[in-house]
Amino acid sequence: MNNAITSDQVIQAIQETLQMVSISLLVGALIGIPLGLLLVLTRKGGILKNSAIFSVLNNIINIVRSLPFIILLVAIVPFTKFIVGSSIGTNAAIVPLIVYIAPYIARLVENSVLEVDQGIVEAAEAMGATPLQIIWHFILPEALSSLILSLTTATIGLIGATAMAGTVGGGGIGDLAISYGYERFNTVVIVITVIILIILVQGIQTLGNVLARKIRRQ
Amino acid sequence: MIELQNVHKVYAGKEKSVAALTGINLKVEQGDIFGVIGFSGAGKSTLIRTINFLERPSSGHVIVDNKELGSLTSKQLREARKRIGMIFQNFNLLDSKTVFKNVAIPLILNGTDKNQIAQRVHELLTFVGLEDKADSYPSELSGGQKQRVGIARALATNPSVLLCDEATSALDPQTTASILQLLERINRQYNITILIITHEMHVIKNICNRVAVMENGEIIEQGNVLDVFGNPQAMTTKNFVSTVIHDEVPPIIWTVSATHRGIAAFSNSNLLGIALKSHYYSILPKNLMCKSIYYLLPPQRCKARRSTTSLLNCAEQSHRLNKPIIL
Repeated sequence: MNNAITSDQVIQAIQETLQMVSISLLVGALIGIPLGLLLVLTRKGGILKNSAIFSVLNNIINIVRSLPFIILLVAIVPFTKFIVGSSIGTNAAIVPLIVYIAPYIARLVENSVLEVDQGIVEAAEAMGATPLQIIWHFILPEALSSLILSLTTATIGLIGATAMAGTVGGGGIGDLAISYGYERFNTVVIVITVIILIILVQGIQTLGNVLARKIRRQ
Repeated sequence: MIELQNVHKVYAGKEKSVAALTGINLKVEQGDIFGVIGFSGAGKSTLIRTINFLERPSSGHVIVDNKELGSLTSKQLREARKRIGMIFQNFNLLDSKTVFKNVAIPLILNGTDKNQIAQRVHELLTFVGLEDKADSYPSELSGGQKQRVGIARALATNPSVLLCDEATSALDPQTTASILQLLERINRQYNITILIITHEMHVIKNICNRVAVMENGEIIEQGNVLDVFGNPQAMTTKNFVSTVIHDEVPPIIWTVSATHRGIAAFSNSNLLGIALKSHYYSILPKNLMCKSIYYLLPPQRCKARRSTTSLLNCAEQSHRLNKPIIL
């Protein structure tokens, strides 16, 4: 390919990026989606209105969301060590990525769910639906297409964050660009990694849009 | 069937609280089509929402089907709500689901068997005249069709009461008429008690047998439609009556054009009216003594459709049936 990096390195970097993004997206969504729903349900006027839960949750999310990823990464090193036993490597990068993305997903989910017409929730309540049934049969299906777009945005945010994971030896495309491109003054490597990132982001956004449109129908 | 006893609803605000309902007493009998009419902000929406406890009253009692809703646990309340259907001005259908799924939802919530759901939904869609739309999405339907889906959904669990929250306000007059006919059919065929809130006088005139007029969170008049609107007391009631009967025309220009068995037709340059017996409004010549005006409209429309005599016959018939005539 080029005398600075091999194609194997590029492929490995892509794999590492995809690994970090997919695992942290999956776990982040598993945490963020329920939190986002909880924000909507417990807010003022929500079906399970509870101002204590709402304000605690709301503040925690705001605090975590105020930290730039690079700072979060080093700030929670002890926590990362506790969870994966090490603070270096791809797995070690996934922990801060999850801590970073889960509150972000929670906010995006909150916004998507708030878009659901309040009348639908009212109709559900009038039918005698339980809160769980309201979420499962009414809110989630109605918010689904918007939720997919939200997760697409989150995924793209994650790709950006993984680039910084290079600082803890997380690997990935960003790491490749910094250690082989920037630090060795190799413009070709930078250009290649930028192109890969653009293709990745475009691909994910297009996939998200297509899925969302398919679900929304007409 | 439905009874509200001294129901108050106060919304606590930061600076001052707003009273939406102040001492509502209301009784709807089994089989009634009961209309609640009022201008925007009169408290109608809050009133209808207290009947299925979407709004909890601040004080007072709500009794539906012999159950005092305030005394129920949340589980019992959910069960009670399954016996109270509700339809909405904006239909509130799930855009992400087909017509079939929309109507099936209350049954799915109940854990009804799949075959039974398919059968019941087919039955309901046939009843509302949408059997060919089962696989359509709400976005492919007209407003009237959407409301029919809403009605089918509300009937799925065989409720004893149907609450209609401005159900025709988003529809054009022709569609409104067809939806009202459907509601009347539901009332007769299934003996479902219907409570309608509306700001449209013709809704009351067309299908209600009893009416309550609301203003500022209070019911200012209630009773039989003919009694309340035949002899309106409050200004608001008179205003509503005048939206369908133009009583502001100066008395001097009325002339009686024909009489027939105690019924008079009268007209001026703009309007033609039918009046029955004894006194009604001041607009009528004193010697006419009409009890109720049943119909008024521009004469050119009258002539185009019916002769004065046939109008008179029609009026007399309606009088015998104690029903306002609708032409």
